[in-house]
Amino acid sequence: MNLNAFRENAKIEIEKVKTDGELEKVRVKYLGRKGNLTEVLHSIGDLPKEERPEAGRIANSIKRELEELIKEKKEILEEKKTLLWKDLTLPGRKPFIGTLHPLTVLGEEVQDIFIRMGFSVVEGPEIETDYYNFTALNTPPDHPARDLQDTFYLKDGRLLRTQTSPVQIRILEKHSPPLRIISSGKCYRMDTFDPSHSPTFTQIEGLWVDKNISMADLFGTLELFAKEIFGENIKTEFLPGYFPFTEPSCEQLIQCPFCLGEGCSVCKKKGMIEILGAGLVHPSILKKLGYSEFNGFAFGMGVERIAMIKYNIDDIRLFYQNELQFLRQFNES
Amino acid sequence: MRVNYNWLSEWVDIKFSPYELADRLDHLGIEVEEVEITSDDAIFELNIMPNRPDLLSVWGLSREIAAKIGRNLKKKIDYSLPDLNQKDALNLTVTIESEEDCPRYIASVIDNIEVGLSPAFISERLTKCGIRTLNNIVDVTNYVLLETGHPLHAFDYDSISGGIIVRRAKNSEIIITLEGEKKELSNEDLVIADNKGPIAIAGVMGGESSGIKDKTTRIVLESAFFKPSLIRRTSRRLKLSTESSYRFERTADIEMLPTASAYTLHLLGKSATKRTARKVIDTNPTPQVKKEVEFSYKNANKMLGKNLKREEVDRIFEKLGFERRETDGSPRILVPSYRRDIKIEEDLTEEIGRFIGYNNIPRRFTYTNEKPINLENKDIIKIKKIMASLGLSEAINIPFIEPFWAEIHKDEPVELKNPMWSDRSILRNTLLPGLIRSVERNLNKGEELVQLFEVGRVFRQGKDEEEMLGAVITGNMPVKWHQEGRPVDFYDIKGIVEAMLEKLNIKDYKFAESEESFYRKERTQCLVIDGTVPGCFGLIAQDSCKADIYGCEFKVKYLLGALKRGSHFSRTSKFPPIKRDLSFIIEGKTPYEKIKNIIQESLTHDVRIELMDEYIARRIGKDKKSLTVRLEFSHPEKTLTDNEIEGDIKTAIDKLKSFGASLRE
Repeated sequence: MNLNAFRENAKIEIEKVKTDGELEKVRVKYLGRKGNLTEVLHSIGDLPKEERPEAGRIANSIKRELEELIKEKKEILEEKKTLLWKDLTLPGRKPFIGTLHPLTVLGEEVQDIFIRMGFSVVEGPEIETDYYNFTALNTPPDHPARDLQDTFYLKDGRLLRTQTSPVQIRILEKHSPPLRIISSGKCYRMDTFDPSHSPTFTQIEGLWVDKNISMADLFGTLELFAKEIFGENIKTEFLPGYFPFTEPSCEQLIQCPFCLGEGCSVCKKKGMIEILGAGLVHPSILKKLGYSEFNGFAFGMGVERIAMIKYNIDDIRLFYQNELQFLRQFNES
Repeated sequence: MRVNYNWLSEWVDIKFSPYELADRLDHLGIEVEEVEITSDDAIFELNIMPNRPDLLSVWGLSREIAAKIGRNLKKKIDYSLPDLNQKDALNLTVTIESEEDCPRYIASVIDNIEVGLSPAFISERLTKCGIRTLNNIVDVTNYVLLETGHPLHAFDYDSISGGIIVRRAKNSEIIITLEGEKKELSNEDLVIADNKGPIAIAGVMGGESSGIKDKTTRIVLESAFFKPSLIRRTSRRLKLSTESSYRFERTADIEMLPTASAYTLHLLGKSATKRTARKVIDTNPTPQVKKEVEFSYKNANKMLGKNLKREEVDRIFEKLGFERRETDGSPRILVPSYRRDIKIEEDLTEEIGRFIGYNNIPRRFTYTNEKPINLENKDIIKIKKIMASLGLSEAINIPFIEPFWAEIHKDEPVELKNPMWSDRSILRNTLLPGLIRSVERNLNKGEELVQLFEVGRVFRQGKDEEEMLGAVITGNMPVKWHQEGRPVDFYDIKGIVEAMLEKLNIKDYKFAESEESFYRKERTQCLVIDGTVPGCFGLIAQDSCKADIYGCEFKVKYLLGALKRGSHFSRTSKFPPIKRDLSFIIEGKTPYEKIKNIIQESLTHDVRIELMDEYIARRIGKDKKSLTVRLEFSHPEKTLTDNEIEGDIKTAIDKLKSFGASLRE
């Protein structure tokens, strides 16, 4: 055996050692009673007589060298075991954490539910014409339903959309059914700015046009939605409603989460609380667009309203004041 | 609309409590806003849908309740008008200028009137239903309005000069209303006039001159039908919404005119006079033809997702007073005149749904295999998530701002005709004013560091609305046990922009001088991607701001346009780079970017250049600065040796020297 190679191998192995156990194994391997060096020393007897003293000298120096290295390594390992005392209860070096707006968080959640149901996300303009916002939606000038939506008009005669429903018309003008779409965005109504009103609000609109769509499809879809957003056990019901562009029309209610159906001031003692309006698309709208053989349903919900119910927020203005103390509470994104 | 329980009970046998009644009304789509329980009655505050004017009365509501609970109405109002040809008739003429504006007008003249207080049952019910009592004449007309839903008006006969004329007002014609207000009229308004001028705004409010006075002894009772859109426009323009206009603009029941008149005469006979009418004029006594609506049981079931039997449907129609007429097997439904909302078969289907109860309709959902349209993708949310990951919180502002912001950008603003707040009269052309507003609110709340972003649309006259990303930061990086505090500065906003671009996987961009007047010119740069400028960033130049606010704003369209979809892997070098630091002193206003380019150009190897230190101190020299840059040389196939990079370093140093730099050893 080449003594030098032996020494080099041993040094490399000692160098690689990471634990006390490993070090002991290496020591036994090279220096133990049945170790490699013992074998080497025994084999010296086989050498010619004149080479024996020199070989013995080298072997002993290797032995000493390795013993020294192992001792050093032991000290290094020992040193690594104890660290300087630090106060580990100090706070960590935390990077800044930003948050998404609750209307974004919830809007995404709602959209994703409908995307899973096969709906596509589309968009429409916030500045609309009277035609798309009202007339095309069966609400001609002088229609009393216009009273329900006090409108912001622009000096150029256009208006700020009061609902996302114009998107229905714009999409159907470009895409023929069958289709399922969802659209979300800002809408505007001339309201006071108080705990329950805001001149700006976020609406999510859905539309499903196909052949043979019924109220059963509408109720089934919206019930699924409510369960996804408010939990499997949420009680929902539908009441008749009125929108000029749907017939029949309905409103969806869920069990009031504040009183769990007992009746409180939020639900006006009814135990149920409205979350959205919906209905089958008025046939005259589809007819005008050239889709007489189709029918469908549409629904629209205010994201603020859903958020207020879901997160127990009692003042709609909080959504538009952007106080960090408010925004920081919505981290589920 | 307010209505009391006892009055409804007079019409229909309600065998359950006010709350139970409210629940049934809700399930019919008649929203009960509030139930007010009194010692002997209950008052409902109802929210009636705009397409159901027939429900704006005790009679109409009772009809609906009776149909729902399967009972008949207990009460009837079937008085008819007296004989029209009396010998001792008082003189009155009625002239209708346009039958389109006023298809029917019934005027009854009554004398021997004694104006006084109303009987208790009238004033009590009016009060409960929220209507002020005035005198026994006006109160009766209001009572009839509440009970039948038809608005009536009483004139003082002796104040009318000549006959009654129903006509359009002349432009600038003036009327003083019953409430003593002066209103200027136009040709868009319909008025009741005599030969001296308007005596009432048709369907909206009477005039002061022809009103009932204490000494009135003879009256003219008006029961008419006016064109709904006319009444609506006038009511809105004059800002006069009355019980009367509310019903007329939603379409009154034209067949109710004689009944309402006769009923009023009957009640007046009990409370204000001993004589019956002395003359009755009806301009259009022929009853209207009932509307017929085609109907198919099959379609109705399909639409409801139900399988209702014919008899079930017929029973609902019968309860609602809808007659069925069958010819050639296809049924047609005859709709009573008060149900103006029923026009097509879908309307009839809704009635079926309402009366079987929406909760008895099954629930169904089917999945689709259709390919989604996906006109828009979800990149916007990606940007929002990136900004949040960089420590900014998302804001959403109301996009109304003050006009001076538009001037800064020289944009032609989109102006509101009816602004919510008179000073914030334009739509935002930039997101920054809203964000600044939010920053100030947060500073006032004691926040140390405010970092906000917003994604939203901006508006400019003559241009499409455009999606923007805006961000603002202000305040101090907080003092922590491991770091010192310091004010936010330009490099913080720049760093956010750089990190955002990196997260968007946009690599080919540069920063250039900015002329964006929104920022202080010494502290702004703009972003250039492929020759386009998505936007700028810098210190916001607003003297009104309390704090230094750094901001940025970019066109989302350009950011998304530059976004490289899908990362692409290129093999990294297995060999460690070799690093060299160069420190040198250079003229103070030399841009680092320039120095970086000089070094870059002189190198033959792949080198990453990083600024390690910038140092400005007097001892370096006046108007001088010291820079330390680190060069990281790498090679794809080998570890470079000192010798191999020596040439590059030498050229770099020479170039720097020729540029006036002196190397620090």
